Amino acid sequence: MNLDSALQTYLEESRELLVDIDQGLLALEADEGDTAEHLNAIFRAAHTIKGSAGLFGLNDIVSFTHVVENVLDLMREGKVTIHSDLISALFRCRDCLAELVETVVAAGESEASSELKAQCDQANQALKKAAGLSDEETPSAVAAVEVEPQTELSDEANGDNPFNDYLVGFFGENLESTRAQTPRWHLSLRFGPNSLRDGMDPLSFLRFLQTLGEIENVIVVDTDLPAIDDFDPETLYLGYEVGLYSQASKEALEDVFEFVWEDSQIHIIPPKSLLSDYIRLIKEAPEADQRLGEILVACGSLTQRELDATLAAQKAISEQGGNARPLGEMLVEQGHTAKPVVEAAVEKQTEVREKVGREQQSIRVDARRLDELINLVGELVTLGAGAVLNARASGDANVIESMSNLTGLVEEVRESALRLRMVPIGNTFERFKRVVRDLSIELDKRIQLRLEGGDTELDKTVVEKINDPLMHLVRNAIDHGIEPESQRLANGKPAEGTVRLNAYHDSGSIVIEVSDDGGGLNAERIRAKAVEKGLIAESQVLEDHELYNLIFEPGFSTAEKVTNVSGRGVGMDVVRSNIEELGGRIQVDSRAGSGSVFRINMPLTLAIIDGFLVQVGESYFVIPLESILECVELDRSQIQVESNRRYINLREEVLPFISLHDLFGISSQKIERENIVVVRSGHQKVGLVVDQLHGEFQTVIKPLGPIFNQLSGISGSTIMGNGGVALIVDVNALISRVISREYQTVSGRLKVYQ
Amino acid sequence: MVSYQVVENVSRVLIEGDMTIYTASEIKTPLWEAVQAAPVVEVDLSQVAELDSAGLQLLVLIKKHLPDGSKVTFVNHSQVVIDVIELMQLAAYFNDPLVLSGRSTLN
Repeated sequence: MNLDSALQTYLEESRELLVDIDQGLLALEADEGDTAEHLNAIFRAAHTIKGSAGLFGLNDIVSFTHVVENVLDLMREGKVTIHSDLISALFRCRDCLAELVETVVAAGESEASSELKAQCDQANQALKKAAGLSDEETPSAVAAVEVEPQTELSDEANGDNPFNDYLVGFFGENLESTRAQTPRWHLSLRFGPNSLRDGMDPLSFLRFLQTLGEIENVIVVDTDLPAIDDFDPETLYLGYEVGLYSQASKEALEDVFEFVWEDSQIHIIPPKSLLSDYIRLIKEAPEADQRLGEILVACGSLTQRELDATLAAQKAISEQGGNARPLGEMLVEQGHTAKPVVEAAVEKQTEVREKVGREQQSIRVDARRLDELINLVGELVTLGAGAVLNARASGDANVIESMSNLTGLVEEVRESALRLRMVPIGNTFERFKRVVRDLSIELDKRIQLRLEGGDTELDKTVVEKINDPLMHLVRNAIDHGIEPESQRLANGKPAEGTVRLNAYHDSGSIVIEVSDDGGGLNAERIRAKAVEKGLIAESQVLEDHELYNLIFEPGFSTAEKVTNVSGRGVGMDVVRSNIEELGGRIQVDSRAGSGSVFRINMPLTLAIIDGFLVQVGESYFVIPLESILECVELDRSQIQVESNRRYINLREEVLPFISLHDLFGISSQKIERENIVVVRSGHQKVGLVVDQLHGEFQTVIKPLGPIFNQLSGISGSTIMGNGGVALIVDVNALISRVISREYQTVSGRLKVYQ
Repeated sequence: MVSYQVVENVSRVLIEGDMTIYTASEIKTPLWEAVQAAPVVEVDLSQVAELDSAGLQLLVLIKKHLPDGSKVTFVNHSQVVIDVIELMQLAAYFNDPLVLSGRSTLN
């Protein structure tokens, strides 16, 4: 493991923790749930960010977070009461911390800019002020508080603890150089107070250790040394931290302390597993509900013997009817392992359990590896299809049966592989809580955010890319959608506006809705604007929903008042093009006075689809199965032509259709029977006329090269089992093309009459 | 055996014999008295014949709990003291000038 990848992990972890802090603060502000629990969660997140930053020597982050942590700790102890100013100050600190992490870690700057530091200082000062701590008293007052109970901070507050210096010496400034060193044992020795009286002199042990190897480092820990009056010259107060080069086995080293084992706390940590490595190892271990002991054994800081002894002791206690104490506590008590390591292990376990409870287990996997896997599965599907063809051709019943079993399995593998990329959209939604909070303060509107369908899963890449368009829509809804409070009350609406984010699956695509209960779109104003911009003719008759969707046209903005939230009309068209780049669509519905709904349709995934293979002339096309409603034979006698539009009457319903022959310019001799595939997208239904139907076909999408970027109506290609190429039909594009062709004809005609 | 003399605000302390678990109790009180006698303290360790953890602990004690404003220096370390300080890597902790004796350089 190199430092870069460790830093990368730290960066990702920090980003997640920052989200946790955000959510915790939001919950605190809303006064939802258990306050103590939220405080603990925030504290833990801040503490972890700080702790890991310390390992990397990111001092700016450490010193900044330290202040935040102190205040949080005082809040946890109830010494500082929670009020809105304090929470705002914490929000500000959280943002500063986020920026610190981004500049120092992500951008690789070794130090924060002085500007950022000044910002951070201000945020820290504001926080102290909000917490009611005056500037001068803070360090001492907080330190004093920290020392008294056994808080996690006590060690750090005690700055002159030589063990800290030792750790710096032990790990060095640069973790990498430490790793390259020869193996070294770490011994943490706390002999019993009576050792001297019993004739067990630590000096003798150290001298003996010299015979087993070379003592590299000794730190004498004098923190337990009492004041002169309480000092008993015959009692041992000193502790020792020893770094030792040695080829001896752990058992051999344990044997050295055989006679003092009972009364002392002796921790022996084997070489090549630096303390920081343990902590990191435990944190990075694949998440599973491992038992603490196994973690420690796996980390090498515990021998099986120690584990067994501890487990036996734990069992004995519980059999006596006493409460079994946590394993970690017993291990520390028995002196088997250094406390920070146990803490890390316990933390890990708790974390694992929490996560399992919350969202099953999760493993961090490099996205590239996942893509590789999906690519391979894609090849497998393709080859499988070829093998099935060959099997059928061979006519051997056994081979055919084997192949069909195999294909079934491949299909399952494919589905599991694809599911790997699926993540719930909930996490993305959660982030908007903070956006809504900040904006509602900025614009002085009371707004609640309702989240629904957070469990809806979609492809990770889609989730990442949908964030920006969603952000724009949410900001827009708050800025333009929700009316000022006075106006809402005048219109008989609740004073508090509602913005709703909703996600659900709909026929193989995912629908994400951003809705508000604001004033809705003003059709008249849009119309006037569109005419002004020359988008439509003045006399043109358009339905309301057609008018509404004009707001996605480039350069269109109806905002009368330009605020710094909504920008200057460079919004909706960018939103639309972003979504279209992802293969999605956006539409808006609105009702004057009661709000608007922006509805985004996104493909679930971009990798593999269930397709339906059709043939037109000599060419093969794949139509995504989810969009297909039915296939019927084309009865030419039913074709109705009306002003350049062709329909058929499908069970008393008007169905416009388009012939793939005409569309793609494929010439072939007319065959007797043509088929019509009825596809839909949203509420629109369209028929596609094709020659032959070949049935279902699992399709691995191969993107078309950049040359074909301009090609509309085709979203990709795929290789068929026989090696031939089939083009994948982009149903959404086709439908909108059919519709817009009508629209163009209509408007073209109108223009002629003008 | 601890003896001291105050000359011009400097307390010159001499420790003779063993500084071990057996003598630690006897040494503690006179040593502390000597350390408090003047703001500048110079402890001569040339006559220390044996030093164990109990003795070392005494040295750590006076270094750590020195009365405010005082300054203590250990001088003329005997070889046994140097050996212990080296083993425990306490040279930096005490921050006293250590004179390497002929023995360790010659051997």
